[in-house]
Amino acid sequence: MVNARIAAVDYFLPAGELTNEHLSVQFPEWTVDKIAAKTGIRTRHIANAAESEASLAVMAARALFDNNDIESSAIDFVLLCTQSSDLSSSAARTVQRQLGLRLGIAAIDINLGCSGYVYSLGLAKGLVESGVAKNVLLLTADTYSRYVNSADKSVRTLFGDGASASLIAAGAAESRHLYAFEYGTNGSGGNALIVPNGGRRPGQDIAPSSATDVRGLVSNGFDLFMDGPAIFNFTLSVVPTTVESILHKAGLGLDDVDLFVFHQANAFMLQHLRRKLGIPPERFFISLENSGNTVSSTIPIALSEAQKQGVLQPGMRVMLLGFGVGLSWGGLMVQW
Amino acid sequence: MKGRISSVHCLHDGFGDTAGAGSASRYTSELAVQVAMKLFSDSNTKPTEIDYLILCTQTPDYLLPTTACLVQSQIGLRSSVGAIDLAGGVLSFVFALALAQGLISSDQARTVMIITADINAPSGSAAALLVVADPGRESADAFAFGSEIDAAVSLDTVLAASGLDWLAHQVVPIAHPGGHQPDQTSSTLPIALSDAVGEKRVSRGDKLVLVGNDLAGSWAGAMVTW
Repeated sequence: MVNARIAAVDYFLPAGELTNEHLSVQFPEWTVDKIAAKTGIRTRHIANAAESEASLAVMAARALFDNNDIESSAIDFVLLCTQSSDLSSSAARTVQRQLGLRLGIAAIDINLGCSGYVYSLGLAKGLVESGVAKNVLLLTADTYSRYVNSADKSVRTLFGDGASASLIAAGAAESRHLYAFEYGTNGSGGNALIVPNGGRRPGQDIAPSSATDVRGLVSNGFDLFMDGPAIFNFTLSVVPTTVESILHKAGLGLDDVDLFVFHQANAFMLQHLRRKLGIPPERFFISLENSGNTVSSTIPIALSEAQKQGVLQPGMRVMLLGFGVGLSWGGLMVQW
Repeated sequence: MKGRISSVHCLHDGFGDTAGAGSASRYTSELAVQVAMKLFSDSNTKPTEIDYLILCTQTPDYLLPTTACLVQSQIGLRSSVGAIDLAGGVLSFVFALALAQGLISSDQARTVMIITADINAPSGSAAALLVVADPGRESADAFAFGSEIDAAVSLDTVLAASGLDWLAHQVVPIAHPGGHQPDQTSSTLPIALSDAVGEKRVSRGDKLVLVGNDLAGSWAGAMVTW
């Protein structure tokens, strides 16, 4: 019996930044402190024209390999979670080539947003435990900054670019490492967070309020739209029930969980969820001040930060929970 | 627990394959809904039996949200399903089979629905199939992958990866790595499989070899027990 685990995790943020100071110059009605208080974010990292989802993922993988003495030749499956706009080529295959990984391996791209890391962990666990792969390089990478219309402050203050890399491999056979998975999908709420332009189908088809003329924007070709109240209500409705389902499946109580690492959407919403769930602050990790909402990378970035800060220790029971665009959500327990 | 493919259904042309002109599929989600409904009615399966949906496409409706999520609500799947999109063209079907087997063998799902759907004007093609947990199944499906390798190597590699004395079995090649056909999509292999099943070229227990190779020189192969 093979039990897959997260053997290592690391991340990469591009050098370019969008700070609250920059934003308050463009939107004078929002002061630096107001943005920080509303979002919990101080700065976001922004990819430049030469950077891509694939190049950020390559940098994250190199950090993972270098910091953990991982031989790249050990990788036998690449799973990249991204919502890239480049549909003509496989970003995972590009990463495989640029990292010089072995040729006889699979490299696949899956499309999911804020729940993507949880789903990818489930897929990687399946690959390892069914014997298809031994060492899965799990990557998340997104550059939502390209989708954000620079005049739309509601999303511009939140999203940042970034990538993460995790090694999923067999752990100790006698213990369960990744367990009590819960998944959820509600496509009828897919219009609450959408890139209305740049795809095959006009956004107005399912999300009339995403149209740029309705929003008073000059289109940049993508124009990421978020119905903030709808997303907030969705989160408040699915997160508590999913936490309960995971605990039930794992046979644990809330107090048995050493650390909660949720998708880092914004600090205001996270604190609201934490209080509603009755989780003490010391067991609820928040890490988005320096990176913002990096979509499927927020959970692995937070895990990596928690590890570096000594908050996350071997043997801890950790709950991961992702939720957002889709609408899609998922969570699990991790024995660290 | 291991999974087996329980049924496969396809639409050769989603644009023409409709009763009324008003119902023709213009977008991938519509094509996916159309083929999923065909599977439900032909296989007497209820949408609520599905635990996980994998949609293979190179032509999603939107950059985001994920097209599989849009399909979930339209075909009446439970809100507790997982739903993902998988890119990768002709190879994606083999990847989806490997992921479905992994989800089933690690007890994350019992019934996985795989849909392949692409809109390539002036036509669209789609297929849908179910991979279900089968307590009686012993031998695992085998998978092999590669890139920048002569496609002729891939078939041998799949057979070697299966660890099977395959000469002792009825092995049916579903799509030989023959030539680089520019019109290959995620539905190429499942449609070939559906045709082989429809023409009774395969029987339960046969070993099926599915190999797809793309224009970039990558390939993915599976040895599947039908």
